[in-house]
Amino acid sequence: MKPTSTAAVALASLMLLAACGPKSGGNATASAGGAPAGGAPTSGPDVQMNFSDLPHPRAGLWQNTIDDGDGKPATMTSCLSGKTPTMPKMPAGCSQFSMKRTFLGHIVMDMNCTTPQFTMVMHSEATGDFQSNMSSDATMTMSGPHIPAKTTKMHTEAHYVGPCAPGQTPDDLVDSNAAG
Amino acid sequence: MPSGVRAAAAPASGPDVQIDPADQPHLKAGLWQFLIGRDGGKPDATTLCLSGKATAMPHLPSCFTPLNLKRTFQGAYVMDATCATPDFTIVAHAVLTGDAGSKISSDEATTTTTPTGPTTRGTMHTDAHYVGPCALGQKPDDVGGPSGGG
Repeated sequence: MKPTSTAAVALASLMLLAACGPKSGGNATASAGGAPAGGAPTSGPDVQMNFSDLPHPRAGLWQNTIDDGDGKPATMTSCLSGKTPTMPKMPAGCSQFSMKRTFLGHIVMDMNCTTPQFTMVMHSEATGDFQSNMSSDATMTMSGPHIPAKTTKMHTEAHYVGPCAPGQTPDDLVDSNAAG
Repeated sequence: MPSGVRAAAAPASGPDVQIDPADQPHLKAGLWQFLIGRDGGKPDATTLCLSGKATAMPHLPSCFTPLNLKRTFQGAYVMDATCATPDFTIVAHAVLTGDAGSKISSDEATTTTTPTGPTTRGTMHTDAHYVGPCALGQKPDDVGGPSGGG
């Protein structure tokens, strides 16, 4: 059996590895504001962050389900080391990248890529506790001089299933794109 | 020298045998770690929890059918397939060796031609080995379903 598309998995991993903080059903787009008297603040500013600020996903086996809306979600397992995720290689032309943590603990990433052939805009929001679950939603819009604009949505969920096999080298210590 | 099987020795070669897709080897159920390198680059690693129903040969899009599958005299599996569309034609060749119970390797080569553009070639080398049983209660990655197990 051939594993699923590496590109899709790499993108999903990027989004998943950025997930942190408690899951919340509230509005993730927090704005600056003060705390109401007599209670916890209900909103606050987003905080810029980089990959070294990300929490470490728990070491062990994580099962990922990637759904791009085609009705056939792909499932795969990853053996993670528990070490700090590192920045995957950015495709050519993807110079604009930002990552921030919202007041509610969601991780929001935006990336813009521009080449002579196409423009891609990606927005993703990830959440989870990094110990038992993480999830993300991403929207990518691609367009170009000869490419009609197309928007793709991808939902990814991962949950911890147990320790890696005895003696197994974690995937993220072998993978050239995410070693570390 | 008479032809045929040599006395007191195994034959050194023999014909390839055409096989049915149902006769492909199935990877042992459990965790398999795949190292996949494309076009000579550094490999990416990924792990799958397999059910034991997955075939070891690469899966190709449906446009590649029918596949030409055969087993060589020395036990390698060889696959040849072509996907022809009005816009492009892809010719794929793959060779798989190893033991579906512990360790396999495969090499794939594809050649893509278009009516107007240049011909492009790609290669992929895969090494995979069994690392152990899936996690307790884990649903295998290759059995489908929306939840992914758990």
